[in-house]
Formats: sequence, structure tokens, C-alpha cells
Amino acid sequence: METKKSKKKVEGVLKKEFSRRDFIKTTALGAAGLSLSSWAPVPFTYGAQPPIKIGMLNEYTVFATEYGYWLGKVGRTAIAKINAEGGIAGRKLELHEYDTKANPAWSASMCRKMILEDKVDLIMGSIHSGVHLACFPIIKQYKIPLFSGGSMTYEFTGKDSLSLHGGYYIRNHSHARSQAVAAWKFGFDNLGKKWTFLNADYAWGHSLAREFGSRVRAAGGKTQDIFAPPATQDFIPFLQKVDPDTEVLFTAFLGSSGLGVLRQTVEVGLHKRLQRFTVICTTEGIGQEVVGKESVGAYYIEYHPRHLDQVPKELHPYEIAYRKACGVDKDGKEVGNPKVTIAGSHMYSMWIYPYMIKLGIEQCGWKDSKKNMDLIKAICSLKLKAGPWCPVGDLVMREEDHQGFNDFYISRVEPDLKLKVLERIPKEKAMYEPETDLRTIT
Amino acid sequence: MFLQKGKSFGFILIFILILLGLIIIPFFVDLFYQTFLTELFVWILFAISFDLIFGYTGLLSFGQALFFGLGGYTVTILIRKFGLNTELSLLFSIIIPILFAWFVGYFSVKLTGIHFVIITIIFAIIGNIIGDTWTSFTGGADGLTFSPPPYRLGLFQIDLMDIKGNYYFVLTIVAISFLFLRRMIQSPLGKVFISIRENEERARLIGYNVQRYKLIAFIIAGGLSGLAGGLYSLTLKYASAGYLHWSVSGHAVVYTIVGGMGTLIGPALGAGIVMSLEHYLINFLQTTDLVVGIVLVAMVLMAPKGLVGFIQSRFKKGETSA
Repeated sequence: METKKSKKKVEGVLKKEFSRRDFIKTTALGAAGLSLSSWAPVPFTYGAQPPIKIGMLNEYTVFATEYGYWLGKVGRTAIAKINAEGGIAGRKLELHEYDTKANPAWSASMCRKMILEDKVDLIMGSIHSGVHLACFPIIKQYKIPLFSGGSMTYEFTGKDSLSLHGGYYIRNHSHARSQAVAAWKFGFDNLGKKWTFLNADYAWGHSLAREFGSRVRAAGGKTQDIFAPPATQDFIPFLQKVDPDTEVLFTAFLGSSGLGVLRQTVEVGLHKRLQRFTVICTTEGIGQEVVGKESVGAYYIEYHPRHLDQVPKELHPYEIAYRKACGVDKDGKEVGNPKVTIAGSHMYSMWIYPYMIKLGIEQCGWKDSKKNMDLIKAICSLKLKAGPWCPVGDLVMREEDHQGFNDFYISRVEPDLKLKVLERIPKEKAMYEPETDLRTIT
Repeated sequence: MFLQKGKSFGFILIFILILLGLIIIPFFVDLFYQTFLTELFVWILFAISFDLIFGYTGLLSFGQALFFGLGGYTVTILIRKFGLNTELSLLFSIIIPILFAWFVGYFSVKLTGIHFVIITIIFAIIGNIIGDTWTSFTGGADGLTFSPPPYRLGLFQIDLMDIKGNYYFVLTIVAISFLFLRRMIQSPLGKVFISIRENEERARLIGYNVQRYKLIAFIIAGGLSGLAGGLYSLTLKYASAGYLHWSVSGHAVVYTIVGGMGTLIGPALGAGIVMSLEHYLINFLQTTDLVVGIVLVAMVLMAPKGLVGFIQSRFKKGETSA
């Protein structure tokens, strides 16, 4: 018995009667339509193919976090940009990110986790040489490319490359040797012939003293080495050892020790009789206002200028876009958080890698890890022109040792605490003879 | 007597069952979990060796990192620079830390309480500084890598570059070490260690040379910590000055406190819980140490005798109320 009540009318937005029969009919038609539509040509979407998985390791806690913060932020931004532009070869990039805790052993575990559990195709990041070294046996075993975020140990692209990482390590940024090759002459010609190295007593400090020192001595100069524990706060006992006839005091410490050594050279009056020279690594991620007035007059080797107005004019359009994307203002501070200074001489590596990967994949038709070496070869033969993806100017990758080169800058801290570029050193002057030839690897 | 025999039989049965489980696991889990378990075994060995001096002898040593690091470096340097085989290198990863533990222990066991803690930290710091600065030999903070040669056992050969091979190799050594420690603790020597922990003065009055026994415990723990370091290096194919940092001893302290000191199974359980928790959490947040810290505080407040102690006390309560 069908009553008016049991007819179950549905008053829709169209304000007309909608019976149960109508509902079934419409649903059936809809379902048939959807089924038929699956036979139609599928529109292209990059989500349709499996993503390219990128692993990222950085120092987010414990030590060197000012680097980790920026390398992570820039890496994430670059990957998001690539995805927004359609991914790579129709495939989306998927990021798997972990903290190294500045602990090589932990990082090795994370590296294995990324490769074996997350199944990443490539790994990038970290400025910690120890982290890279601990990952080498793993990337070599599983043939996974590792793109250095900012490791300064030149040996990684030196003569032992093959035995260390089997050619699976790529570096698009500077390191202790290229810094010395690029900048020693400026120091020697303009600052003095008698150098004292007051460096942190570990691999990085020794490496800089060795690379710069050997060139200064070869040119007829004189050097003195003083090494202090990496976390030294009181430098007076070490500064007292500086030879009286020293003309250039080269220092290399990270974090608060890097600030302390500059301040204490002023406290003991050394800044009046010698020139202070160092690499920007000592003050990356730390504003010059934190270092203080004591840093005025100190010379820095930068790998990319911190302040926008110090960036070469022809790079401005790219630099402005790069800074905007990464949330960096013209003074090298984080937008909305002026207490945070960029790690500008290091973080660009993470901006450029995703683009290099894109070019490499498009060039060699890489699909999965079976063609990883082909991909590495394609990437390491790139000659990047300055552009939105290469705001640091032309960048040349060298196939022999998988090492990249771009321009260097010599800057001085001005009384307004700004790093003013005095000289731009072209990348060609930073190049040295490759010590290995990885081109023959298959 | 009968009860004791029953307990021993129960232990053997459970041990064999767990071991069989661990033997077949690699056939069911992927490579990553095999490496995770291999690392877990290494940390279990480190934690139970620490438990010998902390849980059974009552000495809180933060210097175990020194022996762990020495073991790691011994294997790495002997294989990398001197071309020694794996078995000899591992043997030296016990002998060299034993010699150092003898030296460190000679000075340390004369002290008690906070003074003992501090002197062991100082020795670890000295080791770490030497490791950090003697870069030509140790590789400093960057460390050293190496490729271990295959381990030969009669007709068999275990490739330690192979994850499964390395898994079984480490499992075997850790299982033997566990049994060795358990046997030792049940021996009269172990009873002396426990008596020192419970009442040092009384042990002395009974006639035991307390310092000598403390030194023995310290040396044995040092040797086993060195073995753990050696196995860790073999697993990672890497060693660095970071292994010598006193905070590495903190791993053993955390595992022992969470699992329950003076039980052997407790530190093993603690290592399993904390490492699994870390592994699970790392997928969601970077600051896993913070969560581990919270777990540690919670355990200290709610179950000061650790998980095993907590379970044991529950059982005892149940028995008395019944």
C-alpha cells in the first residue's frame, strides 16, 4: 500500500519532487557516465606517475643549526617550486627529511632508513663532513647519489673519491681547497706576506691552514699555525702566541668561538697591527650585529654575497626572485624575523640541486635507480647559466671529480657592520687540477 | 634447588625461543629492519655491559664511551691501516679496551659516588679530545670509513657487507656475550659484585678486596663495551671521534634506567623500547630526543626500578595478595 507519506519525497534545491525511482535512475545514469568517461583519453597529471623520492639530511638540532635551518628551508622551497612547475618528467618530487643531530653514526642510520625503508632515489643536504663520510659506505653499496649541502672537506672530491663513495657524491659548492685557490692571492697581495693561522683543532681548521698555508709559503711568504680546541671561548692564551711580525691573522672557528676570536683580537689590540682574514663559514647564519663592532675591518671570503646590493647587478633579477621565494630580505635577514640571518654562502646549493636533478633526468631519461650513474654523469656535465635556478651566476660542474665551481667574493666588514664586496673572483680562478677521473665509471 | 633448576630451564627455553625468532626474522622483514635490529643488538651489548658495573656493582660510569670508541677505532684502524682480518680486529677490540679499562679503573675505583662519575667522564673527555685532534690517525670528527673483509669460519665465509650476513654475525656475538654475562653474574664472582652494590662496607668486612672486584667488573665491562664498539664499526663501516664522546655512555644509562638495572634483560628491553620509539617518532617529528627524555623522566618517577622492576613488583604484589 503506497501512501503519500511512504512515497518519501525529497525536496531538493530545485524545489521539485524527487522520488526514489528518480534517485535510482539518476544514480545509475551517473555511474554509467563515469564508467564511460574512464575510456576517454586521460588528461595528463604529474600525480599519475610514481613520485621521485628525495631524501634530505640537515643539522636541525644540536650543532650548526643555523646552517640546517636555511639549507632545509631552501631545499623545501626549491622542491615545492619544481612541483608547482609540473615536477620532473611528469613526476612529482616527494621529500623525506631527517635531522642529522650533527651525529655521523645517527645520520648513517637515517641514510639507510631513507634508502631501504623510504626508498628514496636521491639524497641531498648537510654541511657536516662526518655525516657525509658516514653515509659513503651506504650510498656506495646501494648506488644512491648524495648531493652535498655544504661539506668543506676537499678530499671528498679528491684523489680517493672512487674508494670513498664510488662516484656517488656530487658537490656544487666550494670547499677548503677551492677557497684557498680562489682567495689566497688576494690576501697575499693586499693584506700581507706573513700569516698566522689560529684555527679550530679539527679536520676543517687543519684543512684550511694546510690549503692556504702551502700557497702562501710557495709564494715566499711565512706562516705560523696555532690550533685551539673547537669550542674555545678564551682566546687570550692563543693570541699571545701570535708572532709579533704577523701581518695576516687567519681564523677559523664556528659559532660562538668564531665570534669570540674576532672580539678578543680587538681586546688585545691585535687588530691595529694586523689584518684579520677568514671564511664566511665562521659567521654564516649569524648577523654581523651579533659579532659586534669588533668585526669591523675583518676580511671575509664569501661564496655568495649576503647583502642584495652587493650581489652583481646582472644577477639582481634572479637574486630578488630567489630571495622572495625563500623569504629573505635585502639585508640577508629572514622576512618577518630580522633576528635570523641567512646562511647565504651555503644555502644556494640546495636551491640549485633540484634543478640540476631535473636537467639531468631530462637529459638522460632516468626512470629509476638502475640509471643512477647515467644521471650523475648528466648532472656532473652541466654548465649552468645564471638564471632563476642559478642566482649565484654561472656554475660549472666538472665531470672528472663531480665538483662544481662558481664565483667567490672578498668582503670587508664596514663600520655600519655590512659586508661590503671588495672583489669578485671568477670561478676560473678557483679551479685546480682534478685529482681523479670518475668519467670511466659505468 | 628444584625451583632454581626450573628457573634455569625456563630461561633456556625462553632464550632459545627468542633466538629462534631472531634467526627467522630476516626472512620476513625487509633490509632496513634487519639493519635496525643489527644496530639494536649492538646497543643491547653496550647496555648490558654497562649494567654489569652499574646495575650489579653499583658504579655509575659515564666513561664507557671511551671503551666503546676504542673498540670501534681498533676495528676500523686495524682493518683500514694494517689490513688485519675481521676476527683478529674484533679480538683486539676487546683486548685494547680491556687494557685501557685496567688503567682507567685503577684510578677510578678508588673513588665512590659522584667522584667516580666525574673521573670517568674526565677520562672519556680526554679520549674524545685526543680522537678529535689526532686527525691523521683517527680522522677526527669526520671519522674514517673502511670495507671489512669477509669473516672466515672454517669452510664458511660471512660477507659483512651483506646486511643479512652482518645481522647473523652480530646476533651470534651478542647472544654469546649475553650468556657469558648471565653465567658470570650467577657465579660466585657475580655474587660478590652484588654484595658490593648492596653494602660495600659489609663486603669489605667479610674479607673481600672490594677495590679489586670493582676493578674486575670495570675491566670486563670495558672489554664488552669495546666489543660493542667494534661491532658498531663493522655494521656502519665507519668510526669517528664522536664514538668517544661521554654522551654515548648516556645511551647505556637511558636503556638501563628504562628497562631496569641489575637484570640484564632490562637494559636489553630498554634498548629495544627506546630505539623503536625513536624509529617510530622520527617519521613525525625531528626532536625525538625530547620524547625519549620525557619517557626517561616518567620512568624514573613512576618506575624507578625500570620496566622489569615494575613488572616484578606487580607480580610480587599479586603473589602476596593471593
